[in-house]
Amino acid sequence: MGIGRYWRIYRGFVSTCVSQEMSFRLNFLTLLVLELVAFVMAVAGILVLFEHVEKIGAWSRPEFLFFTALAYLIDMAFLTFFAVNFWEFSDDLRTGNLDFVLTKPVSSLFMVFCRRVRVGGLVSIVWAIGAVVYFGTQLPAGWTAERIVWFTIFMVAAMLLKVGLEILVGTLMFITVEGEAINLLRINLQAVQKQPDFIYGAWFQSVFSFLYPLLLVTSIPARVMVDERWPAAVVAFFFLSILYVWWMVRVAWRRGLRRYESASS
Amino acid sequence: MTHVFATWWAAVRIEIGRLMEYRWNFLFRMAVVSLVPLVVKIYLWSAVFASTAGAQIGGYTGDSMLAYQLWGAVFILFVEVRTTVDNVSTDIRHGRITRYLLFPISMFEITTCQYVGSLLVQGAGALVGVAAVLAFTNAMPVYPLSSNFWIALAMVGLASVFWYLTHFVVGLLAFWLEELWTFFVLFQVAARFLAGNPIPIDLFPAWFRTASLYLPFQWIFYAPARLVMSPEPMPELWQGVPILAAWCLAMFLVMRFVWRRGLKMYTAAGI
Repeated sequence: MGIGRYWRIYRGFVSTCVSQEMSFRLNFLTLLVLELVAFVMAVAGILVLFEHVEKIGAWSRPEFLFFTALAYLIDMAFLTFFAVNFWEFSDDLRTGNLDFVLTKPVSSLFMVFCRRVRVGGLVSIVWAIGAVVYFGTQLPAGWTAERIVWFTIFMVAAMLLKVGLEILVGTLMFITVEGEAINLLRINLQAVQKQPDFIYGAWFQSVFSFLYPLLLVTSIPARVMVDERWPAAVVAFFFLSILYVWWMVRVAWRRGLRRYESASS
Repeated sequence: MTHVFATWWAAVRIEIGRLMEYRWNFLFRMAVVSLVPLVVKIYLWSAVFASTAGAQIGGYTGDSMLAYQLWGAVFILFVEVRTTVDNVSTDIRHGRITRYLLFPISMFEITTCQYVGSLLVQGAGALVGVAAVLAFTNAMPVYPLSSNFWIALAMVGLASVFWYLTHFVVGLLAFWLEELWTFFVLFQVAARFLAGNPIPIDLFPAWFRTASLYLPFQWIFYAPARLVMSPEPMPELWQGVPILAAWCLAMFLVMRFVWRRGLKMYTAAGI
């Protein structure tokens, strides 16, 4: 099946989600407030910290603010396009509704994790992009044409990595069936990527860079803007980890489907 | 009166039994929710103190900041109790509260008993964690015979009541609104930050410290953590007990008001 057909299906999903979301307008507004409050508090925390210290590791206030905005942007993109699907997947597994998804003539991963879009999140993404651009201008390197291009490429790659990592944890729901605990694990693990990699100890960095490369998601795109040079080995490792994670997703998903017992049958 | 207590205790025991039925799920949730953010906070503060080459930050050393974060994480477990109170809104929306209007026990009573059951189980888990840390490390200094200690405990108890009542009130908004989970999360995100988690209140600017004196939040995390780890009396923080008690009373009155207004709107959908 071609990409064009997937795109048409995806447009259909988005259209349905717009109609659903417009039925709960207050929820739409409170979500926007919630996301803005979370960001304001994260920024306020950085400002308070840097009232007491000049630097944390090699980074000073502008770098940390840029990193926080970047983490927020990645978070908002994930929340908008994917997050709701993980909760629905949990319900579908428990109730057996996954049967209906599996009978569709499209990729089951696509059907499960791309079906629901939180359209209201697009507003937060716009704010987040504004914050990334603003805090990016405060960095010594600033925005140049070359950096914009590389940053965009790394952001797309980071999103691919992030989605793969989240699905990888999500596949544990095939084992537990009750998905709430796994979803909580997923959400709490996100706290790890919201801090730069260098704050963590050596073994923690190793686990979350090599085994489950969550630390790369925000730290590597941030370094595109912060660092003068990006060692070729680091860049190669970043892109290789995306391949590794998606290979793991493929294996875990297939095994999960084989394990699935179909509660409704 | 004894009959009423027996009914309440039965409801508490049922809730404990329910949680024990899914004890691994419950313990896993508790561990994930408390340990992952705690580890991240500890690493962040370690990096901050490493950057100051051992100097104090606002009177905190690296060790005292670690103790603050650990005690705060413990107290949070006694306050943010996973409970069925979040189901209040679902019960209202699906018309299930009709049964509470007929039962000899009210919805508030039964939900409170379930809350107490969850609190006992979660609190026991937290105490096991504290005992393990105290047995093997010096990371959590504590002075159990001091006045600070008992005041901190009273504060945590009141904070737990406040948290519960606030969630109950938010749940009651289901009489008017369809989706409420964003309100719960919004409250949690804002409350944690204003409570001094992960940055202690005394590191904030003066205007913020003054404003937070009258809010309920710093008495949930910051004040009990500071009190319990301090060998010297800290009377400036003792005022948190009456302030929190006033907030609890206010929230209880709001809850009664919202409940009565909501019942007038209630249509018992699904009957």
